[in-house]
Amino acid sequence: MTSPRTKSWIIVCGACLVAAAGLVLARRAIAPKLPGEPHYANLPTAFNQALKNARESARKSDYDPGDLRSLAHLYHANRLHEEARGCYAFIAKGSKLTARDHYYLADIAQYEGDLDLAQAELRAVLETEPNYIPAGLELGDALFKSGRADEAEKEYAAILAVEANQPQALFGLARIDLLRGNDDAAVARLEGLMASHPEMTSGAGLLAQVFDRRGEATRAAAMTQWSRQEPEPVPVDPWMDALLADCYDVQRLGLKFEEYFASGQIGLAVPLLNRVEELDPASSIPQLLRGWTAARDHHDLEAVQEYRRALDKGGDPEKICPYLVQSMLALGKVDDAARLMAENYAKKPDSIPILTAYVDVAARQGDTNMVRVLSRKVLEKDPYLYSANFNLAKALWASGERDEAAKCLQRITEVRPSDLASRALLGEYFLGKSDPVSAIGPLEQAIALAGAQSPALKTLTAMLYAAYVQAGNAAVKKGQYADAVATYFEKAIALSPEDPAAYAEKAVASVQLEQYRGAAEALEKLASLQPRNPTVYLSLGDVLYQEGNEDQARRNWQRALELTGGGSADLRNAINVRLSGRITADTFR
Amino acid sequence: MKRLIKIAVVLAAAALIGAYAYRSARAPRPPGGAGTLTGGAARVLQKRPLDVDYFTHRTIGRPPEGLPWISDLLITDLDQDGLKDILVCDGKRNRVSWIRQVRLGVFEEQDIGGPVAGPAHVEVADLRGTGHLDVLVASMGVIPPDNEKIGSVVVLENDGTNHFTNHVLLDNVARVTYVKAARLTQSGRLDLVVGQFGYIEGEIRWMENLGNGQWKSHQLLDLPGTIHAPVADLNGDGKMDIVAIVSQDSEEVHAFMNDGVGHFHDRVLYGSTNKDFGSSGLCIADVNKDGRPDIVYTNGDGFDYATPGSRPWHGVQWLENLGQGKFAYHRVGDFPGAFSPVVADLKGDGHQDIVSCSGFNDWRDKNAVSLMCFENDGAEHFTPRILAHEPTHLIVVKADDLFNDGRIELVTGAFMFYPPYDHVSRVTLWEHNE
Repeated sequence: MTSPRTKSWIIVCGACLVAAAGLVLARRAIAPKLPGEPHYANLPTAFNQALKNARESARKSDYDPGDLRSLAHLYHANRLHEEARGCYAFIAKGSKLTARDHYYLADIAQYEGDLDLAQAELRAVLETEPNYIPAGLELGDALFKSGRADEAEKEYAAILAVEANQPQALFGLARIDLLRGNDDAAVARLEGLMASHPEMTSGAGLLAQVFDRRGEATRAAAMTQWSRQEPEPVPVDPWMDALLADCYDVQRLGLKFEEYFASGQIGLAVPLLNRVEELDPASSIPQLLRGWTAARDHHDLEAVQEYRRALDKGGDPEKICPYLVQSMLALGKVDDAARLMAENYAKKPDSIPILTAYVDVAARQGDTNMVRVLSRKVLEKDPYLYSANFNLAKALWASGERDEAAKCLQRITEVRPSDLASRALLGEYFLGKSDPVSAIGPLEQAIALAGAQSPALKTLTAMLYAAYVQAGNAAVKKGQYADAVATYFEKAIALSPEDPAAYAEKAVASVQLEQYRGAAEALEKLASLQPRNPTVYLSLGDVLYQEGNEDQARRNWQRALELTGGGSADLRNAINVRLSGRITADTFR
Repeated sequence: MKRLIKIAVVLAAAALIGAYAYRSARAPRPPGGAGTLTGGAARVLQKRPLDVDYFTHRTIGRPPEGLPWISDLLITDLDQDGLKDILVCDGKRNRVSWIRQVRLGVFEEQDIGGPVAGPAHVEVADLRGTGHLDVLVASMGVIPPDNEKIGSVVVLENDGTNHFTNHVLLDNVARVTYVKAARLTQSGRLDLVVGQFGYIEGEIRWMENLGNGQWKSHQLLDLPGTIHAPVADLNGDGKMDIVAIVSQDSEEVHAFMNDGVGHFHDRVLYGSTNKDFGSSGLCIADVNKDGRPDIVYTNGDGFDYATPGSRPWHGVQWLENLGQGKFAYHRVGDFPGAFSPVVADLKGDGHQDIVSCSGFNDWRDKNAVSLMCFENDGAEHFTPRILAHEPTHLIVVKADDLFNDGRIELVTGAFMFYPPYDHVSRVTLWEHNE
């Protein structure tokens, strides 16, 4: 039996324990709650570990602003914006936010599309850090994009006071000039920009467009050329860059890599890949992106190694093989490429990217049979794929199977309105098939595409001319004289006015239509091209006679007789018959 | 002893209070605005929920051949027979085709006019005053990025017997992505608004109809990246203004305010400071039914990324027209790869919903959404409702009452630009699932 005294002590001790627990819970309830959750299942383990550490540090230091900022940066860098904002609100309860705090809050506001809030935060930044140019630029941009160009102008101007010729500020001011219709000011500003910052290709592009609009073609062309250089560098922003150290979001790092990669800032791009690899060692993306980077700089050996590693890590062959094959082919490792593609084709026989890459390898090997088999398979899946049609057409054409090749060429003309070669080959094909009418369309398009300076223009013109003349002759044979003249011979003459063939044919068809004036004009032009040809003058005389112009007819017959000299007796007889006046209905047949 | 017991009771009470406080602090809070949501839900309970079973879908027109690139669609009664048809821009075949509703619910497709290189947008207008609808086509030359001057504006002229002949109104310019006929001056003639995406260079112009087939171009903007540039009377002055979404590095919505005599004043209504925002489409509609045209636009473009696909900031937003030239930005919701916003009262509850499709989602994820409705509760609070996960790669969606029964159907077009190609489609009709 327990004594009453002991019972009392047990009750007291129990109550004390409960009370102690209650106090702990009460303290927790009363204590400030850190923003966010202690764990995010959708984010990497490394992030959650960093989060745990940051939250513990904040608690242990009794919510020291420095520790809260670290936590805010971690949230912000990983797109947990609400949580980051909560941290800054926490800090603001006990101390003043720094310029950098406001800058990060502005970034969050901009991400969420709240430009008014972003402007307020950026103004707060500039109150204490007026020389932090990225903040000034952000504010200028945010104001401009809110339709407040006047205020944006002031911000850009303020930047120029800190850094004369700051490129983004100059560009922003030029856009404001254009918005106001002040072309001259914009052009002067942009020309200044290009002089001080030749790397600003966006400025060159804008200037090209303005020159083009003003009809200044030469200056526009020069600026267009300039704008096609490597894209301009990403503007520096040390505060935002610092956030990347806290970023565990592989996609965000990948996007930043892409930004640097696109602008050619490879030195800044590559470390981001290292970080992606650290965070997700199993991911094949860093190797794929490293492969791109190496291939871009024509370091194909390195590219091949990286792509191979990406495959070894389980990367998607549909994404990787097309790039890997190109680098292998650039290195001349055709057999290796063929083995690689055979393996992957066996695994994914219906994949269009795999098939297409395999076709490239087979084409390089000169294995036309394989090219045909694979290309046909690709085209079963996508009949309008340019590369497969091109490769198959090439293989079929080379082996003389032109009917089949023509089908591919026809599809290429449909999918590639600007493809000259397919149109030229189709023209050649139809001419070879004695189908000049079908040849005309592709050849007309080919000439339009070739341009005046093209070395192919002469050949194409000769082919199209032949097609017109042949088509005209075919129409004449069918008795379609009007069609022959208007649709074919006149076009042939317009295409090659110095070529005699179409004039004679046009004259013949025109006579059939009893259009003697047209016939006479064609023959007069022909005579100017062949001034020593007696037949032309004989024909011209005939046409003029039928037109009712007997004097001129006789003069041309006379000229024909002079030119005939001691030549053909038949020709001389024919001329003499006419000159003697013994003309009957059969004379001109 | 009594004192000890008293102390124990006080401490226990403190513990209980502490525990209660702790529990209260951790308890989930009810979401704000619950009353409003309940009110909305009560009305819509009479209707089927907007979800993946709301529509059933079927291919209309030609079946997919290979990997289609349908770049635009237009629902219109082209032959004016009382049945709505669909015009199709086929970017792979470089043709414009007409999916004609020959009988209610029965569709047949035919190409119209000759080839058009890289057709990107299609509109109809009786451009020549013949009483027949001509077809206006924005021709990019090629759809993938290119800075050459290969764009054109082509009109497929209707001879009245549904036979169409190509007539080029503008060519050798930066790639044209948009064309629209509208009365921009007091001449009584239909002028044209032309958006030229280009690439590094591009522009917006309007083409003044001088009559007798003569046109005069007036440039409005020197920037590349225009996707859409529809017209509306934004400020209620009776004159048609132009609203343009300009992507590339600008990512801005511009309004060109019309003075009615051929002068336009350029205003930036809103812009994203994210250069990779990916603006992808814009439409004008009175979202909140206040009588003023609002602007709805999407950002989900993935064409120009080194790695095509969605980005976390992709989604839908609207600019509320507050009157007196003021607009307020509202994010409608996130939607990876969002394209082609369209405003329609899908459920017939009197609220303007926003439908959008996805051209650039992560299609390896079977849960990736290809068609979404942002359902409006009547107070412009939008709730995302998934309408479909496949077919995938949907770059254009249009909505209309195709069967004249008072209900809205959808038509989508697919642009199969990057793998996987597991759910290939071309033109798909989304009908009510009875």
